[in-house]
Amino acid sequence: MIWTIMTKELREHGKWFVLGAVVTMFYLYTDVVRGHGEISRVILHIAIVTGVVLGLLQTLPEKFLGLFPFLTHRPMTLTSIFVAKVTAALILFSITVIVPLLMTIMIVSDEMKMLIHDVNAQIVIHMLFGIIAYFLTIVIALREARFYGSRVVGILCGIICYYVAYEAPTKGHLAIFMLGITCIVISCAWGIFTNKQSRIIAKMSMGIVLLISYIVVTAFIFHNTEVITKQFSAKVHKFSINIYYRVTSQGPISIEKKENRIYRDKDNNILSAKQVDKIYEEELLSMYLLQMPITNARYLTKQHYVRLTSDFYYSKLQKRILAYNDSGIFQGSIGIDGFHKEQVGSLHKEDYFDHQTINKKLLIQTQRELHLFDSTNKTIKVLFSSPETIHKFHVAISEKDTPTEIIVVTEKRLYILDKNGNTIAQIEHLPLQDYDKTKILLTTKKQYIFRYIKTNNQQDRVVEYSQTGKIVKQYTVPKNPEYIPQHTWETYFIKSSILSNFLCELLLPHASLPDYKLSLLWLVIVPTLLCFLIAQFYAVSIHETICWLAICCIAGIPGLLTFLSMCHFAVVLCETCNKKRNLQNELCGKCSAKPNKPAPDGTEIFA
Amino acid sequence: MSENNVIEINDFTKYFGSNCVVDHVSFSVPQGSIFALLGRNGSGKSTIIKMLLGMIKPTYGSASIYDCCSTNLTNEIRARIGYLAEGHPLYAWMSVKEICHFQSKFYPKWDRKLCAEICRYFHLQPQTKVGKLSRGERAGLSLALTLAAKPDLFIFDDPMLGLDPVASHSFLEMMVYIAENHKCSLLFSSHMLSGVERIADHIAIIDKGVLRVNCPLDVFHRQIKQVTAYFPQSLPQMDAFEKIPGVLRGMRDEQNILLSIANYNAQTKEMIENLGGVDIRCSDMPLEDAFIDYLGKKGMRDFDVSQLGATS
Repeated sequence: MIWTIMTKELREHGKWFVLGAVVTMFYLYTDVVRGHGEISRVILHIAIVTGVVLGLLQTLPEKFLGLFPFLTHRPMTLTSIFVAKVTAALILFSITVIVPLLMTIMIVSDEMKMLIHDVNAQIVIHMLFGIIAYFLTIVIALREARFYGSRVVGILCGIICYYVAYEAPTKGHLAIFMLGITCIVISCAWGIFTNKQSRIIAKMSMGIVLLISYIVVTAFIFHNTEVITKQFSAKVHKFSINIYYRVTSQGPISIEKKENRIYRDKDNNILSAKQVDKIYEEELLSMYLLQMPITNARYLTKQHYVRLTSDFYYSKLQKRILAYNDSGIFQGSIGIDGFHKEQVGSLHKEDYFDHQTINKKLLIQTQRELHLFDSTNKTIKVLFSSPETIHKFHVAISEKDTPTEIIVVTEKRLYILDKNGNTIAQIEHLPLQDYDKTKILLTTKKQYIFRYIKTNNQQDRVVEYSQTGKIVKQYTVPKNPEYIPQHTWETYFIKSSILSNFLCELLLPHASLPDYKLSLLWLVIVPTLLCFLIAQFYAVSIHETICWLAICCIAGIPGLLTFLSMCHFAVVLCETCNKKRNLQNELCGKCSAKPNKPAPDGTEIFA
Repeated sequence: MSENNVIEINDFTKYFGSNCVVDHVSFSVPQGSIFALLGRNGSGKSTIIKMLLGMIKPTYGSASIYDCCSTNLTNEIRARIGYLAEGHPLYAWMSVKEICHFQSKFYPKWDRKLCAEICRYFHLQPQTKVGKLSRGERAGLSLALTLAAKPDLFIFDDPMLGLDPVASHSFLEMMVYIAENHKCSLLFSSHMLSGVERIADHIAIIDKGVLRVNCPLDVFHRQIKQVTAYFPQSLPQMDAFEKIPGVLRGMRDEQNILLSIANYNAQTKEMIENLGGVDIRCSDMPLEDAFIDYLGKKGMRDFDVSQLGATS
């Protein structure tokens, strides 16, 4: 019987999706094969459009033409009908999205195949977007008016999926989120299709989607409000007094920024111009290591080629350097196995340029290795390899402009290499992941001073290491103003509850967020109190009120919004006590009386 | 549940928002009966049927079909119920043959021959697309699809809605055929009264969501009377008659009044006498008139015939 419904669905909508497959092929050809767009982004657009169209075609005609009673009344459970429809939808989705993609892969060049292979995980996730869009469309199209939440859940969920896809810190986070949301959305769609919203799973899943949606949408709005406000703010603090603290080989100095700069040493003595110049001279290297996670936005717009010079490009995909002549014609590639002359046609070039030179040779950093590339001889060799991921490397230059040292920073160590890659010294420093930012200062006196900055702390920790790796000195300096977060009242909403805080840590780890402890009190108590008053006004049962109060305690304002979205506001007056009775409860909450039967009017005729 | 009842409905109540559309409706459909659920448009008949089949969840109350709770009807029970939805919804893109084939896949007792016969009766060509059928032909096709499944219980939701007299007649003939030739039960809703008396043996009348009548057809017929009274002095205000229990409708002509009354008895007669009425005469009325007066009781106001220039 499932097969019969599936066949019906395929026959009913198949022609449109075969047509869609042709359009997809055309789109893929024009945008990807010709190199105008990224394949994963094209798939994202096609998947979303296909999902929405599928959801609409499978529900709206049957809903508005009154065909649901005909479809659903048959010796078959509603769940089976739902499964049949979803299976047919997945087949149609494959016809429109997957088949054209596979055909495209078959006809494109080997280079393009490799590019597609490189982003296959991304393509799968984007296809999942389409599936989510399909289920959300079903939820929107078949929404019941029993509570307001069912009207907004689809739109909200769509927004958060798109938002999180760009803000999720890693692919892992994104995959977990997408799979979780997919499961919940399927549950929602199933609950609405089978018209069993009283089923605890369907109702709970809708509640969870709403709650997460409200948290993320609230965070999104307030986070962006802050950014936009800052961007367009006309306030310029020209004459405000700011004091900055710098770390030097002589200890910390303070810089007071008024109309002129005033420098003071650690004993608060004003420094002369000569002393100040010396401080600047000694700063040979100052490296900032930001611990902000790379956002998924970067992952989504990942470049496949890194331009090294005007003629050489590093292909991350092939792990080889591609060489071009002045006319842009490919000459060959250089890898760990040397130079290979080959002809693959012209490849897409990127403008991104990031390299350092040593003795006119390029130093290229991979995840755990430094490679030395000699463009003259067209050779490449491994200069240094580390058991840990390399965060940053730098080539120190002498006064005569010759390279003296190569400094490589990993998560737990700082390596000092000579120009041939031999390790001169290594320093075991504090784990960088424990801090938001780390500044490393190399002085002429062979001091390695680490300044560890944590946004929430008032003081920065400073550790001075010798070249042998011993700790020479340790102290703290006050935090500089740019690292002291200045939060407007709006930002407190982002972390307005325990749950919001947890999700913000997960979804917006790089966002500069306030210490919420003080705001937590009133941002939890006020929604909880409001929830209680509304529940009383609409005669919500005591058990349900307790549940919602608990949710408001945990989730704060988003919890209150979820309550407002899911509460049944239909009330009638109890005939016995004349108090409000919520229609969800058969018995009156005040007097426990059952609703009266309608009064006879004398015309009743019963056998 | 009584052994003789195929359907039992207990206190069905349905609110849409704060609006009560079905208010504590309880009735049962005996095995083998032809049960007519009557009421004006918007009285809640379709809602009751949809709740009965588990398509809508009742706010309160419950129902059972063949002892199976209506919210969780099993596949076996669903196979025993032939449901004909309001407006005869069918897939317009399928042909007559295709839709018959589609439907046959779900019912193990599907009678291909019967289906073909009914299609022939309604002059349906197998290759014709459903979308090109007239409303009457679509009703016939719906009936064919319902009957060929050989169910034990038929539930028809306003089957004659929108049909012209000829199509209605054909449809009614088919219903009579079902009633006479199949040992099955039939529950149908209608707001059209023509033909109900031909097939129904039991009626229930829903008035604005409230069940007012639930009895065999002959009992209903007996209980509705037409009463005439003469008022030698001035005729009282019509409001006074509305207070008499069971009054459905009144028409006056100077000093005479014609009343339709349900449950007419000695007490009712005494109340008319107290208003000054004499020469009170009670008579039976045609069933169709009784239906019209009953169903129109809240919607129709009395009027003075003499003001229209008519004579009683």
